[in-house]
Amino acid sequence: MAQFMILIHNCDDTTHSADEMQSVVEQYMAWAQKLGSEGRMLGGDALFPGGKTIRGLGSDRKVLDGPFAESKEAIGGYFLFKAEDEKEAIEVASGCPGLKWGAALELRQIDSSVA
Amino acid sequence: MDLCFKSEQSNDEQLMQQLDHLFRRESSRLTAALVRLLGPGHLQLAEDAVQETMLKAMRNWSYHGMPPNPSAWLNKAAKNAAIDLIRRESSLLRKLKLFSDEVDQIAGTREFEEVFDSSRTIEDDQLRLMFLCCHPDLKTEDQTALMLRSLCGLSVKEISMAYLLPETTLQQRLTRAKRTLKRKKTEFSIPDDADFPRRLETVHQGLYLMFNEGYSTHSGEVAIRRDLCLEAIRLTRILLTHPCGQASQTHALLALMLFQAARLPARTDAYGEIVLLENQDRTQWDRKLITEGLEILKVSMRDNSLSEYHLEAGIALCHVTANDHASTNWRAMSEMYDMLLSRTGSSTVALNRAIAYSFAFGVEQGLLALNTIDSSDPLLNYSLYHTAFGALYTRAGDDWKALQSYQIALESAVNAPERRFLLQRISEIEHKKYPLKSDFTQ
Repeated sequence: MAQFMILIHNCDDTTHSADEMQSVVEQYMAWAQKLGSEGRMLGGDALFPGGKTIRGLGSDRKVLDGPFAESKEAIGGYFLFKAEDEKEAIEVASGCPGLKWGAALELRQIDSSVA
Repeated sequence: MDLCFKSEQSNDEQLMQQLDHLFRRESSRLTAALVRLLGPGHLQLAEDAVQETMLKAMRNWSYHGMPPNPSAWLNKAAKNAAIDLIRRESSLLRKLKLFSDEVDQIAGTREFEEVFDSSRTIEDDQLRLMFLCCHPDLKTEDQTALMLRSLCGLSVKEISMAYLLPETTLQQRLTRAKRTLKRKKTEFSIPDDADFPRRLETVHQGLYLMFNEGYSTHSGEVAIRRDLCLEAIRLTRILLTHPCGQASQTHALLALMLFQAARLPARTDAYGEIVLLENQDRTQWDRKLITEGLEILKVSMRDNSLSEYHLEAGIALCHVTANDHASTNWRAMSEMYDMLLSRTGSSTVALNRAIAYSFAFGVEQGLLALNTIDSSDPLLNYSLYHTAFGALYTRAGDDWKALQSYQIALESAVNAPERRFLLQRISEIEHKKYPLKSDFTQ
């Protein structure tokens, strides 16, 4: 099995009602539980909004806000999971509830090759 | 990295129960707590802090799963949100008599800790918030909107769906109400003795309106309207937990709500269409609510007072204790409607009274009673008024007049189920009169 990561680019969720927010949590939990029961789930985390971009060293060092100017483009969090191949990983990722609210998923395979 | 998703939830149902409107409940609890800390003039800030807190919970819990103690997690997040707010708002610093460099210290003060931690003050805070939302300086229509937003955790969009009003209208009402509370420098407290009965009355009225908004058949989306009824019941129960709220009117009000709520499951069919009382499947009525309502109604009669809520509960009782439509005690009900009408002069009461009369004393008496209603009363539901005429004329065998009445009702019917209901009645009459024609023409 290979390891994959999905980076979840936020959608605008600030207008959710309490009930809708709860539904988001419930659906994510159900999805993660399913992945857990299939033995795929390796973990996940939310990321704080904001963040910095750092370039250069010493006097050339630049610390900028970002990299995403718009908070709705920023990465809100990630999940790490196992899948046979990319095709299967796409299927797994397609179940991510965030897609329902307009989030974009970036799917990347973890490169654990030795040679 | 957090792996707590791996711990399996053994019972899905248990989880769902635990989660039953958790976000709304917690929003309501935190709003009340923050208003206590920041003062009623800062209701909007409290709501902003709560929205921020809940969003944070949504984002975090989506990835990590729910924490073992969600309330404690939210308390901590709300505290931080409050501290950020206090930092940003100089007026708050003045109110709390703090200099900005002292902000960090307040997180450790007893008052601050108490606001979030003490479970015994939760209901007390919500009660205060209830009295605040039903402040007599606020317009009645603003009071219920404010309660739904601050005390029930409903969003402006959800409230607008329940009321079938544009979001901007609801937003304006809420802004207006909050501005009034700020300007009048209202206290966040349960009012003192002299003012108390009047204030309790406005709270009763607010809860009653909230329930009715949910219960009325002629507005809004079904699911959200049901929530309004359940919220009104929840708040009335909170009112009853406090000695000050344990008036006989409060008991009567809750009994009324429980009797009405018991009938909710049977009022619409599987397709969301209106089912008339006489056709309702009475086995679907919630016996548990009826039994509880009866107990509470008994308590409400201990001091021999007879409020409008008592009368309305009595009327609802006639319905829920009848085995079928025919054996309903329409005469007792008519008497109670008489008393209610002489007290309120309400055209809605008069309308329902006429229908009760028609079953108690015959269709003719019902029509006579309908004809005494002033149809120019702006509070009269014009569509229901003519629907009642249609129903009584049908029973009297006057199809022509029934048809006319239903058609007038149709012109002012506001929602789709109501319009479909009226079209159905109209087609029944037309079908009866011209069976061939309606069978062969398309």
